[in-house]
Amino acid sequence: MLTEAAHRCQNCGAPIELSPDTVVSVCSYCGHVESSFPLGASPLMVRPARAQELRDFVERAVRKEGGKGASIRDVRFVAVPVWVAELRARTRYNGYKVEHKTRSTGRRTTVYKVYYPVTGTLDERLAVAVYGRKFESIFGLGAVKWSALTRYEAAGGLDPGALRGWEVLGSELTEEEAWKSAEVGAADAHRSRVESMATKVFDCYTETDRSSIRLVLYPVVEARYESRGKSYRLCVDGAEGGVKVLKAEAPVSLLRRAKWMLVGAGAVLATAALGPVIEPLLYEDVSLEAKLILLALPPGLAALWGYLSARSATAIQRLKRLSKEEDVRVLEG
Amino acid sequence: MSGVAGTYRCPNCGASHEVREGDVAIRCGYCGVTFRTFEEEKRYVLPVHYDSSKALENFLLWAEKQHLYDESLPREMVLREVSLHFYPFWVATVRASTAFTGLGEDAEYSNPDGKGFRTVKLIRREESGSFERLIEFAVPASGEVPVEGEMVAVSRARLYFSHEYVRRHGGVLHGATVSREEARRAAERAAAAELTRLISREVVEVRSRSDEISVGELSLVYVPVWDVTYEFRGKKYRAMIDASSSRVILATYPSEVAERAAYLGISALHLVAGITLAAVIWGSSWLTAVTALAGMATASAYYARAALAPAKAHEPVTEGRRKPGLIERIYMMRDMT
Repeated sequence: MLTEAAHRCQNCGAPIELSPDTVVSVCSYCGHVESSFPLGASPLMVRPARAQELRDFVERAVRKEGGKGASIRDVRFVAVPVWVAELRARTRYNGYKVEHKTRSTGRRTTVYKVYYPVTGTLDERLAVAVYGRKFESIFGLGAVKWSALTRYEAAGGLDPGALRGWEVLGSELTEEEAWKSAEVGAADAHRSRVESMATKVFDCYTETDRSSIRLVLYPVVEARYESRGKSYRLCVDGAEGGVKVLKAEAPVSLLRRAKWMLVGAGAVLATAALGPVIEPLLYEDVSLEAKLILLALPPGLAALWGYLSARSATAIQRLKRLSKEEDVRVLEG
Repeated sequence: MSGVAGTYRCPNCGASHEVREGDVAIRCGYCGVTFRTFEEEKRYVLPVHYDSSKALENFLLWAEKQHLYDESLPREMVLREVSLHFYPFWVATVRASTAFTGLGEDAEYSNPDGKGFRTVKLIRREESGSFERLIEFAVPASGEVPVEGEMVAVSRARLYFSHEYVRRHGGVLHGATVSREEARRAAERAAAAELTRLISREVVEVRSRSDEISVGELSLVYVPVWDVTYEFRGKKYRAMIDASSSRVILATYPSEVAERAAYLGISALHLVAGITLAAVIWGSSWLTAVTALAGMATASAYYARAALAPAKAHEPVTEGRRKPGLIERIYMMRDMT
């Protein structure tokens, strides 16, 4: 950890917001970097857009999401620390996938299972984003990490002039801790892919080879706005040339709620209309398993539509995910 | 003679105690519980960024969008008590690694069918592997904190603790009943449980296992929380608001009768529509009737639940991921036994 005495930049004397756990700090006035461990490479930054452009954008976004009467309550310009690690991940996996097939012989229809072995190796070069703060999060963090993954290659050296007015958060993760988290992230990402390919997974082992890791300061605008007396949150990508809303909470109008109720009822009725088509099949000479599936499918689907439409109609707000939320990006493979 | 270091509140009965420098444990004279001050520990505090009026303002704006919220609350609420409390949490980073051997599963396939097989026989074979993880661990050091979900701060730097900081903000410092050793053991148990989970994904029977768990520096972090008690039409309600981020940790609020009635009415409408449809269609297609009833009854149940749910909520930080990640799981652990 950096010492308490380092509350002032050792280069220019400017005050730096430092927590006891900060291991890498960046002075937003002169760009001076201090680290409690030997940094492999200097931190980079994704250049932020001009402050006025961001303020105007946030105002427009608030009016768009919250309606004409919406107003901004709170805005923070924060440069968040994201470690971006490049590594090679090799995962060997073994499992199987189950599919159901039907076979008709005369009047009898049989449903049976077919097992497809799912075995192989995923060998990819990946970029993994690790948030550089412990026990903390921000609204829209998943989307911020994806933005960092797509823009870090264009990131440049620290420019104190560009960071003026921004709250620069230091990293609380050392490089080694960031590497460990990145390796786990890569293994988890491969495991998710394997689990989506197979019904049952026997083995899934990942080995990683480290390539490079950089600390990137990414500009994010956090805002709270008010619409019809209720408060909502907004997360905006503050990067130059890429300003956009990453995630937003938005109000739900009465019209939208009524729409969801009607859509739900319509979906239930449409599913119920499958009844006359499926019913005769239940009296055919099919296996018991197939009959149970056919019996449960329409009511099950209808119950699902009923649940989803009621949940949407009673939601306290809409959560708009306007960007991917991934920690891992495939570079090659 | 050592001077007064600060004032602590008993985590059991709430009685205030003045603590001298060097006092590490206090026996409450009112309820007899012994609690720790951790005066000897390195401690941190989350900064107070929101004063009571700003925190309350944000709470009301957030509460207004919750289910069943009574719109007249801001006009008619009467504040009974607004106080700032500093609750202690143990936080640590845990390094956990394991090497294991055991019996894993594999399959033997027979009866080809195109590119697949009709028959699969599960077999077991010897396997070995290893895992290494870095786990963030946090647990309340006092039983008073109603942690319903994650205990995650919102991007605010921690400060070194001082009694002067607590006094300056007029806050109440809470004693802790969970010792450093207990917290360490809980962290080790959590890490071991996570390693077990990872191992069980790979093998069905463990033959040998060798864990190495190292709990990094355990820090005591005080989280400032505005505790607000208010009255509305003769009834008492409570809100706990993070003074560092103004996030609503937990709140109860008055519910609007009209809104409850509306949801119940919609619920009844869906149920009646479902039953009526089912009755009308039954004669021509029983499956259609059952399907329509299932769909409408499910929607009806959901609306009824919304109408009858207690008016209580919290504002999440990590907003609805597909599944809780490791960090969230560890934060939700409160059972210290």
